Amino acid sequence: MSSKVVSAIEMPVLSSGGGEKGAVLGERLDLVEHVKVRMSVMLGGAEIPLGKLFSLASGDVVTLDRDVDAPVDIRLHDKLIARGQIVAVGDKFGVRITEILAG
Amino acid sequence: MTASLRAAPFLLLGDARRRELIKRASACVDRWRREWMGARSTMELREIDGSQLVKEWRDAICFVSGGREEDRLPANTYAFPGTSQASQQAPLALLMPVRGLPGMGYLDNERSLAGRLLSEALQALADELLSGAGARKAALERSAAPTDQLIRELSGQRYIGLRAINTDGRPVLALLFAPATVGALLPSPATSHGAERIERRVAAAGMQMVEIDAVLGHADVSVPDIASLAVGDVLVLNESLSELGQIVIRGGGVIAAAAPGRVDAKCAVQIKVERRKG
Repeated sequence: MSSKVVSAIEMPVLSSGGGEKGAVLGERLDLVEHVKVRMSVMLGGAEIPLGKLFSLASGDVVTLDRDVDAPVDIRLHDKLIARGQIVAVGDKFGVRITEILAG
Repeated sequence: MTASLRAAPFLLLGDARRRELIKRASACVDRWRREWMGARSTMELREIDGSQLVKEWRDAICFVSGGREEDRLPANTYAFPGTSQASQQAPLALLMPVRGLPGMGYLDNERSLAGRLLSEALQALADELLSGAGARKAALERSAAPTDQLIRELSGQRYIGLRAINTDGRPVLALLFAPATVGALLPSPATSHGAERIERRVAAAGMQMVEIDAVLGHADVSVPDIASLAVGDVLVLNESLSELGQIVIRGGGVIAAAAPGRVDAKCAVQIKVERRKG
């Protein structure tokens, strides 16, 4: 059995910058294709008094600020990214995208 | 670690709840006393603040209840504003004078018969107090930390101190309750006669407008799919047509499950399941 020398390693001090600029991943979205993000479809909102909020009970109806035929908001982490029309896809809810919001 | 000693641990309890805490803890101590010390012995519980505790109990033997995760009270049982998570860790601490308990001797050797009897008695008291708080039984462990340091830390975390004294005025035990334990020992404000006052207070703020959102559902989408999302695409949601949506307070939590619908030309939701807690 050969003997090996074990010695300590000192890690180099790192600082940002200095290299060639450019994102490491670039446009390689395929590398994150398994990463899922959750989008929320918002039917609408309402502003109600705190007193009414506390007295809400099963069966109560809250009217929202959105017209029935207006598109619904699609949010990603509270950021509005698109709007669309509610549809049925088999036995599931779906949303047909009607507008993509810039930014 | 140094923690400030606040002399007013009951500050946020108010006199009525403070009396109620003493009454409830006294009832537990009284049941325990009759079982372990006989009917002749009497005890009275009084409030004691952190400074007094350090002064009077710095040489005491300290036991802490519930070191294990499963013994802890739920974090949402009750908490004062600003209470640290650390204070949830031990629901209860007991301080015993080095001379032991009346009629039960010293704790010179925990393996001796007297030592085991004392440990058993203290464990029974902790069980009694925590059972009054609706918490599961938790193992009582003798603390290795210096008692004065422990008292300072617990006082800094707003533990509430009660001192049990004999009729001759001699201190028998000191109990330190975590804020969560205090909340569990006291009746919920919503079920006590104080509920009316609380309702009045809420009513005073009743006209404050709150923004809520109705969420139809969610779709879990991959990053490339989001990047290539285009007009005309159809996102399939996780929810089936028969599933309820949610009503959420904007920037807050879910308050109810609701069925989507319409009222005239506006979208609307009908509350199906309220969610009062959590």
